[in-house]
Amino acid sequence: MTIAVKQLSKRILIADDDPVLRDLLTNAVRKEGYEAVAVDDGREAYRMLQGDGDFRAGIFDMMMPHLEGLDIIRYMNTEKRLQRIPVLLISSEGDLHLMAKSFSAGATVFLTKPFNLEQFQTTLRILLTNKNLPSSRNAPGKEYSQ
Amino acid sequence: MNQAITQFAFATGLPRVLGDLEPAVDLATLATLEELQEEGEPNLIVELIDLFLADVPCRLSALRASLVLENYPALKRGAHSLRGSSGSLGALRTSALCEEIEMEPADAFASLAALLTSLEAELARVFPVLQAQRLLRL
Repeated sequence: MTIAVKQLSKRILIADDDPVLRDLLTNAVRKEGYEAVAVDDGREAYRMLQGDGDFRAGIFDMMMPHLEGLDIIRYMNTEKRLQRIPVLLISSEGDLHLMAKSFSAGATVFLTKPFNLEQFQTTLRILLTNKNLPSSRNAPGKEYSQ
Repeated sequence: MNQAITQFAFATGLPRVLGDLEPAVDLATLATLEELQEEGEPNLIVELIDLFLADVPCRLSALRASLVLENYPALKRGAHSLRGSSGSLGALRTSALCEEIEMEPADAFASLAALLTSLEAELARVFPVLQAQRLLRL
């Protein structure tokens, strides 16, 4: 008897309009042994996710042209095939209101800029190893508003 | 006595002069990126510096245009974006100035103009340091 074991994807989708950070994140993800798929903004990430859900995780900047990180998460919540993908949201603002809004929309982890390499690597490992975290995206709570 | 010196310093703008003596780029922050370097691959720090040097003039022009057009949301978005990349490369004062622009009241034209001028001056200090760091790694 053979048991089919579905291999977890090694691809991570990165969306950031800043070329320096995009390149930095791409290299940091590769360093962790994953394949980075980097796009320039939220709209490109949205287009990619429409046709391709084979990602182990998503890393999105909060503030991007066309579509923001939260908008992509909201779209992912509407598609069952994308709901299992955990998301790391990156923002320059670290206030609690914004974090609460991100988590209630379905972000799995949150990282505040500027961050150092060690902080990013730790956050990425938490994102990829904690099996309980993505469940928050399967049934996103009521959006936090104030 | 100390208070008098402090008052004199602030009255003469000494803190600003002292600020100019701060390193434009924190080389320790830049050096941490060496951890990401893969053997046989092009130098990552050179690559990141090249991206920054190519990208920033366009971003600065966009910031200046946003200010002239009094498009404050665009100005703050632009500063927000520049804050991230400058901080990652160790241009900490640049990053702090971007944060000040983000935090300034939306319609404070005069103070935003002054901050943007400071940002341009700071980047004029940052560029040669990054160019030198780039050359050192070629």
